[in-house]
Amino acid sequence: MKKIFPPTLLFLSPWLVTLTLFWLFPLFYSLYLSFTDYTILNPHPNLIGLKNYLTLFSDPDFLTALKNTSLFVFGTIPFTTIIALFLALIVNQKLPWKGFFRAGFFLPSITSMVVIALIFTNLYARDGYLTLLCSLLGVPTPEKGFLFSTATALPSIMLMDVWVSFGYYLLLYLAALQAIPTELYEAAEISGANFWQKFWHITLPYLRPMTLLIVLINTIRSFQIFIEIFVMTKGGPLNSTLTVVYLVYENGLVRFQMGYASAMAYVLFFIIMIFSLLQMKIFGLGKGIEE
Amino acid sequence: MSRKLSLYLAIFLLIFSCSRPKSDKINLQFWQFWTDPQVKPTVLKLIQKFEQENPDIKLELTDLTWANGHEKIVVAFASNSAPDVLELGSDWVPEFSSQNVLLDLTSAVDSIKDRYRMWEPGIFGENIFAFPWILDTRVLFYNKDLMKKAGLDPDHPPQTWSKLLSYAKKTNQPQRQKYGFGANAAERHRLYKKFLPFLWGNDGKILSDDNSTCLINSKEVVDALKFYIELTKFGLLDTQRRLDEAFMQGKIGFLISGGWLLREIQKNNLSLNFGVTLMPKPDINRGTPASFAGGEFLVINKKTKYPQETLKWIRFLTRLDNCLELCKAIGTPSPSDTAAIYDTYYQNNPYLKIFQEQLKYSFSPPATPKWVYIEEKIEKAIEEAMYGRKTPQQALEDAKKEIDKLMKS
Repeated sequence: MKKIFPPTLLFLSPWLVTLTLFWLFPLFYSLYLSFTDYTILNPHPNLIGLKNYLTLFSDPDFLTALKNTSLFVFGTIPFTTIIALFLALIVNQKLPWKGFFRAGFFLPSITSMVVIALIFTNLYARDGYLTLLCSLLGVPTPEKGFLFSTATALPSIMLMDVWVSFGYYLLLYLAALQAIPTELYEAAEISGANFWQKFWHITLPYLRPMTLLIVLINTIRSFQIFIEIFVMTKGGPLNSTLTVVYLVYENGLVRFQMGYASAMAYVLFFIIMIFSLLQMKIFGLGKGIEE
Repeated sequence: MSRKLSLYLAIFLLIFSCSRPKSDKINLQFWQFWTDPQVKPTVLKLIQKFEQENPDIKLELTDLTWANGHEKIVVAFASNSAPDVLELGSDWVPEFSSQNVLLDLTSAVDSIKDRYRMWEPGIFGENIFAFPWILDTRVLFYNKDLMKKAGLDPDHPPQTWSKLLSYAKKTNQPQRQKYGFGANAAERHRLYKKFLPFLWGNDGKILSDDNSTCLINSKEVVDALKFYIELTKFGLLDTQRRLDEAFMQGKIGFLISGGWLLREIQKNNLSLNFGVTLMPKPDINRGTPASFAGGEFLVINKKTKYPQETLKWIRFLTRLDNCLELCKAIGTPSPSDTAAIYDTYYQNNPYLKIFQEQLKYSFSPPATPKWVYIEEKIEKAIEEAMYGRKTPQQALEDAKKEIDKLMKS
C-alpha cells in the first residue's frame, strides 16, 4: 500500500484536483450558500436557514419558470425520442444516400447552440422566412411574430429544440440497432413473423436500455435549458419563456443574489434527481431483455 | 527514493518558479472594453503617452468583452482580484458604488466637476464614485426614401409625438415588408431604455427626488405609456439587434437607436438614404426632446494601493484632447467634457451634430442600487400594457405599488 500510494496519487492528481476544485467544492459550497443571504460583492454571508427555500415557493417568477420548464421537458422529449427512433429505423436500412442522411440528421447537434438560436430568431421574425412561408400557404401567423407572442414563444423554441437534439439520439439508437444480432431476425422470418411482429418482439425489447438512457439524458438536458432562452427571448414576452436555469442566471449574475440562486439551483437538482429515479424505475433498470 | 524525491522537487520548483519578476515601477491594472481593431491602437497609444509623461508608472491592460465582462468584474471584486482602474457601463455603476467596493472620488473631483456632464449615475448617497468618460445617446433615425414614398417631406422629420405617430401610420405597410416604427419587443434590460425617453419627455419622473416614492402612476407617465403602445402598433416589434438590421435593409421608417447604428451604416457603406434628428417632443410647445443617455465611466478599486496614481490616469483619460482622440477613433460618441461640442469634428458632421445636441436633453435612470429591480417592474408594466393584459393606468399603478415596497425594504 505504502509503496504504490504516492505515485498513483500523483498520476491521478490532475483529474482529482480539477474534480475537487471545480466540481465537488463548488457543489457543496453552493449548497452552503443556499442557506445564506450571500450577494457576490458582500464577502460576509449570514446564515438564514431555510428562508431562501421558503421564499422560492411563493415567488411567482419561480413558479412560472417551473411551469414553463416542465412544459418544455414534457413537450419535447416524446417527440425527440419518437422522431429519433423512427428515423434511426429508416437510416438503418440499406438505402441509397444513407450516409448523407445520417450526417445530415446529426449535423444540428454538433452545431453551436448560439448559432442555431440566432438563425431561428431570424426565421421566426415577423419579416422572416417562416412567417413568409406561412402567409404564402394561408396559415395564420401571430401578429407580433412567433417569438413575441405569449402563446407561440415557448412552442417555437420547443420545435427548434426537437430539431436540434433528435440527431444525437438518432445516433445512439442507430448504435443500439446495429448491436441487435441479425440471427434473431432470420429466425423470426423462418417462423413466419411479419414486420410488426419483428419490431414489437425483437427490436423494441432490445432498444429498451438505450431508450432509458436517451430519455434520461434528454430529461436532464431539457430541465437545464438556458442558451436558447438567453439568446432568443430572455424569458419574455411576459415571462412566457422564463425557465428555471435562466432565472438562476438572472438572480445570480444580474441581481447578485447568489444565495437565492443557489437555492433555486438545488431545487432544480432535486427535481431532476426525482425524475431520473422515477424513469429508471419505470423503464426497469437492470432488468435483462430476456425476462 | 531519492529519484522520487527529486521528481517531487522538480514539480514544486516548476510551480513556484512561475511567479513574476519584480520591478520598482508602480504597476496599475486597467480593465477596459475597447477591443475593436479600429479603437484598440488608440487605447495603446494613450497608455504609451501616459507612461512617457509618468515614467514611474506602468499600466497593465486587460481587455473585457461586453458578453462576459460584467460577470468577470463581479467575480474579480468578490475574489479580491479586481484591478486598480476599470471601465464600467453607466447602468452598472450604481450596483458597484452601492456595494462599497469603489474609491470615493467626491473631494478629488470637486473643483473640476462643472466641466463634465453626466455625474448622476456615479453618485450614490452624497458621494461620487465614478468619473464620466465617454457618452452616447439615442436619437431618432428616419428613412428618407420610405418617407418620400408615403408622400412625406423627408427634409422635415417628425418633431412631435403626433407627427411621429401619423408618419409611422403612413409608412407602415407590413404586407410589403415595410414598417413604420421600430419597436423594441419584450426584451429584458432594453425595453425600458426605449420607453424612458417618452416618460422624461412628457415631464414624467420615475422616483421622487429623495428616491423614496415611485411616481410612475402620474398622468404624465400614463400618457407617455399610452402613446408608446399606440406607436408600437404601427411598426415592427423585434429585438434591438434585428431592428437595427431591418433599418439598414431599408425596412423601417423610424427607429430610436444610438451611435452604433450610425457606425454600422458607415462601415457597410450602405446606400441607405437616411437622416437623424432629435427625439420628438410631446407637443411643439410642451415637454422636452428627452433621450436616454448611456456611457462609459471610470472607477477606482477601493482597495488600490495607489489612489493618487490611479486618479492621475483617470484625469489623463478624461482630458479633452485624449478623450477626443479616442472618441474619433470610435466614431460617434462624445467626451464627457462639455467643451467637446465646439470641436470641428462634431460641428462639421451633420449626424454627430445632432448627437451632440441630443446630449443636452439626455438623462440616465435614477442612481439607486435597486435600479435593476425597478427596471424589471417598469418593463413588466410596459409588457402587460403592450400585450393587453392591463390598461396602461392599471399596469403603472401596480408597478408603482411594487416599486414603493421595494424602496422601503
